[in-house]
Amino acid sequence: MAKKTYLQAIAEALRLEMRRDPNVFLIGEDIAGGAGTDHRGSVGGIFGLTSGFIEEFGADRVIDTPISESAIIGAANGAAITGMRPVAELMFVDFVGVCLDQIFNQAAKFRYMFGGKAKCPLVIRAPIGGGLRAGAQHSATLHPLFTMFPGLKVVMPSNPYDAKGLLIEAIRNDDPVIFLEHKLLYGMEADVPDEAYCIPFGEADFVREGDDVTLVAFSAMVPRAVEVADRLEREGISVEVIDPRTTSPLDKGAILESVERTGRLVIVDESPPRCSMASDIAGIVAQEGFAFLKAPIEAVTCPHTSSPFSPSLEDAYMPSVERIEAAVRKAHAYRAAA
Amino acid sequence: MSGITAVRIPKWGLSMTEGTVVAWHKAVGDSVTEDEDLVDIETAKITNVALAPGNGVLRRITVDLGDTMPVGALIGVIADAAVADAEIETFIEDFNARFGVLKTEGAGEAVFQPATVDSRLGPISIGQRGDGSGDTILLIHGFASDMNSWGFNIEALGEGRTLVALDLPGHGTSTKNVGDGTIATLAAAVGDVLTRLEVERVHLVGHSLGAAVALQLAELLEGKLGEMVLVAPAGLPGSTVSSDFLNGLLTARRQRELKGYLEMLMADSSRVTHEMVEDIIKFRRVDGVMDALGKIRDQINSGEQFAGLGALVEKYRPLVIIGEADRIIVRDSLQENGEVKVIPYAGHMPHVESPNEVNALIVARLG
Repeated sequence: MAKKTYLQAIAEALRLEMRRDPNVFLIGEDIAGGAGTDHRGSVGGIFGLTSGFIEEFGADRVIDTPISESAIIGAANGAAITGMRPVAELMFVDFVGVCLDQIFNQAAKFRYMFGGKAKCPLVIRAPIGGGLRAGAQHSATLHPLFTMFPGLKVVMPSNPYDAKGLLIEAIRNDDPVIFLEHKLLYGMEADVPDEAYCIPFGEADFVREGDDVTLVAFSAMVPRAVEVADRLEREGISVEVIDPRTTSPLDKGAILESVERTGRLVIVDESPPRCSMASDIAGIVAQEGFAFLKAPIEAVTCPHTSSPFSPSLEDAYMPSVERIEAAVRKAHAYRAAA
Repeated sequence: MSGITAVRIPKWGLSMTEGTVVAWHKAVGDSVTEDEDLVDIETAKITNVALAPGNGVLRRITVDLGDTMPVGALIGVIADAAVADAEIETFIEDFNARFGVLKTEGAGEAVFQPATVDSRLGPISIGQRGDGSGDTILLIHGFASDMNSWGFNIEALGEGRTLVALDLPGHGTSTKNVGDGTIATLAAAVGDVLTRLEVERVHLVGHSLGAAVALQLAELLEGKLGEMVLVAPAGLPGSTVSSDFLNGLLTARRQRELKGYLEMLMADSSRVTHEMVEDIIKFRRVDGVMDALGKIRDQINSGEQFAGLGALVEKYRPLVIIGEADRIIVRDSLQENGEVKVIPYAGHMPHVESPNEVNALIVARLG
């Protein structure tokens, strides 16, 4: 089994599915590398992820578009309901605002409004997240926005192995899937099988097993959560790290099952705190697992403000290993008043 | 510096590059005998006990519990009580100074050279060790396993022989086409591999499902068959395969639940690691695997295909090695005799749990 980066694993998933199914095609800005050229030396998108695709699959299946997100998603929607399997790319998730009608009001509702007779097997890939000093307009995650909307599936892979298996599942899935790739993870390396494989949606990964505190994290927050778990293990604090992998559907059973055992819950969410996955999961556990809790639920999130450009401020803005560790310690140390 | 023996991180698995020292069976100052249980080493796949490499007194432990070290690294020193402390210090310094070299010496020795061979079902992945000289041993793994399960056996069995291990159809990186999923079909595909490799004479060592495949395969080998060793064989008269295990292995969803089933494999369930569970989960997700394993499982559960195996045992008289605490293959009786050896304190994987005993039995049988 070869080591592959998160970026390579995503590219491999796309390549395997495009070879397997001629209905799969890519559409986005600069994904070939400049329309009107002969594509020699094509850049393959802003991160070079689809580099080499136009050479293998041709311009009919690797479609460069003008700078118009509403055109990209609108065209992809239309193709999807006629039986194609488009994989559309938004250069940064922050730009989704201009095509929200195509996503929320069209793609997410086709199946519902046509009484189950239409399906929309659309994948929207979008880089998310902070840490690259990219400023307020290129650093958001926005996963809570998609998660609150019925009709969409929302995927947040935290490692190369999951990225490949979840993307193949997304492409084969008959519903619109928002596939959120964290920019900080593109260089992360891990063993990734060469074959095609699918990871089902709504199946959480117990990344670390533990008995004292349940720590739920998504995407780039998972490696940070694991670092905290490994650190605290040396002190005898046993932390269970759960990566739900998808926010919609959410494997709430995994979280409740774990909290039933630990009684203590910390959620890490790279998002402003209001209407976040942190508040969502805290709400679910408060409603359905109140009797399990031995301590108040802790949430480690960004503050309610836009992502700062200043490196030192951005570091303070994103949930850090130190903040996560402090929250886990606080939950672990809590004792109810007698 | 005679009388000083280095205790090093062993190389067990094909992919093992490092090991973590989790527990010592001896304290510094205890006397140890060669091949005595000395230290528990955890790898990414499994935890196992490393045996004392020599006689003497455990004079030094050079690592802390929980330390992870590369294969071959020094973790302790065994020496005669008469050897001076200063001499031992020098030995440790020398060893560590030369370790950069020691590490690369013999690296890959225990590793299979991978290759792909065509069969009637499709490409079969094989691993070969040895230069083709000496006898050839073919290692056939069990259900939902792969060639890596022989990690604790290749060094001992490979001495002076050529080893070939393969991934059965539906397993590892071999084709996921298993035809009708019967042992006869799997055996025919394995037979194709031996034909392609132009093996003149071959000893068969099969585990569980692989043992049943070996028996079927013997029928196809005519004059080429050497000895046959069946480890925890499936399908023999007077035994049944746990369908709970087979079904659980394929359907258990949560990691914890699957771990419970994998623990059935071992007498000592603490050997099952998180990574071992992950490996199975990851394997099940690969395109075609669930169909392939499902077909093979259905054939095992129906049991019809095992009807003729008793007669084949009579015909070929294999050596049968079983773990006393096997919870996967349930036997009516456990009678040890010249051709059946029972390994105490081992479960369904005696070649993993008690590799030294199993290796010795196999080597003795091969002569």
